[in-house]
Amino acid sequence: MQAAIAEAGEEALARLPDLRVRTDAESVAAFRRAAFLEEEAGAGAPGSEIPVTYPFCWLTLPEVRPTLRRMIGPGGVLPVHEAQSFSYQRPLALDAEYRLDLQFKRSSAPERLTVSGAVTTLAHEPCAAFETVLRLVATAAGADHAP
Amino acid sequence: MSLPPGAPVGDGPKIGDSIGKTEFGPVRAEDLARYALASGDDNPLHLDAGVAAAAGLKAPPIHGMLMMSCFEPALRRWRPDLVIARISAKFLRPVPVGDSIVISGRIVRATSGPEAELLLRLMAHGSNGDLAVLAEATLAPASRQAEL
Repeated sequence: MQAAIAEAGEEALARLPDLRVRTDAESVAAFRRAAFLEEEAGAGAPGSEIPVTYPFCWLTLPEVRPTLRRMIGPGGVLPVHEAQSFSYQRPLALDAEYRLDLQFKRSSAPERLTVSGAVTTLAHEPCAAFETVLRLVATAAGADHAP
Repeated sequence: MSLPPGAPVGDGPKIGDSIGKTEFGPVRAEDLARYALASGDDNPLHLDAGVAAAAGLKAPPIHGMLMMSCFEPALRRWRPDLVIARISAKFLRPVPVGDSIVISGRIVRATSGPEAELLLRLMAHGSNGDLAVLAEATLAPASRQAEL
């Protein structure tokens, strides 16, 4: 999906509206194991709750990465994860499909990229929101390190 | 209804109560590779010592999101009847691969009644004691979220 990018003063904006994202059981189970959630769950059956931080994965989807990279800018910039938040109106269900709206805002002094996400059901009921703040640090190495 | 510091919240937790400490790790390179695969965050900074060195780091840092993710199992261990309704975190310092992540926190605000919630200040420290992540989380009864 091609995001429209608009320049507004020192800020650049882009939006990826109405993406379809899923909470596939296999993907969620792998994430739970990687995020140490199964260690605390004990020896019982693996948990099926969607981890609170799971929606961050959707920023690495193939339809999102190009916009993320474009908003970070050309080589020579190291994105440093500065802050992150998640807010839930209702829990996400396993093996379900959701709508995801992403908004990217690039700001300067200091250089930052803020990505805001809103997750709703297919019937547009609000479920969750999240915000990712990346500080964009110039490097001599010309790194290309977007998530 | 907000309660003053030290006030009891029914028979439950009090403002200032600790959630205890939960340690995850030591976090090995294979843990970072597993998290990169599961999350999609394959930033080579976390996976390649050469890239980390070029960025001025002695070793690849643990993903900030992996450290943030550790709050959830720590809170679940403390109060399995509560879920995270909101959480926000600031990533303050990198923690190198090979270190453990130690999660701790305290209740800073509590509300009672049908909209009962706990606000916690949470911390993730590396093995050397440096504060790596500072966070706040609002916890609500799991039963209430399930009703929505």
